[in-house]
Amino acid sequence: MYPFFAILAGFAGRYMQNLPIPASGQTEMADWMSFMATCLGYAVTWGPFSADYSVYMRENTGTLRLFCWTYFSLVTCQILIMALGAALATTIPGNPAFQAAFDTAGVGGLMNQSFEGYGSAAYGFGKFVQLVLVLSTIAVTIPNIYSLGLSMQNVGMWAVKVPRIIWTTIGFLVFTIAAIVGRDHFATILENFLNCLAYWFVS
Amino acid sequence: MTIARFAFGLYAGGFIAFVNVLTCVGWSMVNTMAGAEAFYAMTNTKLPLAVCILILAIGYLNLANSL
Repeated sequence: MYPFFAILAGFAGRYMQNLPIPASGQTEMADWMSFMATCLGYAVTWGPFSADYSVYMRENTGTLRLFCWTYFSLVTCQILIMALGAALATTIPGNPAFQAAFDTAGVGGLMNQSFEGYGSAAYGFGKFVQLVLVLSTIAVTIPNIYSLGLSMQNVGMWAVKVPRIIWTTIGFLVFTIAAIVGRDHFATILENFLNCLAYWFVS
Repeated sequence: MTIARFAFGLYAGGFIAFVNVLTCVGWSMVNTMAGAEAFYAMTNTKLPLAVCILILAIGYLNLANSL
């Protein structure tokens, strides 16, 4: 996925700005701390899921090796992608076209707007990059749906008797309805959800 | 999640597993919305956002069930 994110960053780079850092104080410190908690909630969720997937590792894999794989995979992807997201957000101030794109389709709109102004060939290529980025969400959603079935079967002895396909379908209905109902409040939902996760996992 | 039973026992382990289910549902929702937003922008907002979410979610479900 990194080449495609790099292409996106390259096309959007012309519109990115170096925004001044606002005054530092207690409010900014509080904001910084809550953002760190959100980031922690993002990374630490891998913990419970990892048991479902690390069974594919050999049982004599060293703990240091396992730690390094987990830590550096989480850290590199998280830092790079979050930095790209923050950089994409800097295209908005003082740029009405990007502001309008963000208001209609969120971050997806920013991605689409980044490929404007380079001619129709670049715009068509941008559509391809966007399609690949849309498909990349498969890789993050499928482990969740797969773990959902496995976890639900662990709730009780009665739950094991129900096939996993039924549990995943019930989960699909729940999350699709929730996503459709909350479709206009993506950023708020994401932030609140990640904060809840941070509380729950750290405790 | 079966490992949680070593620490919590059968019933409390079941509770932990259920909270993990809620996490999975929440993550699926958030990731589907992120993908759907990009899809919505890709179609130049011609397809409604709800339809984008539905298309992606059905695709994910079929892929996950085929694992």
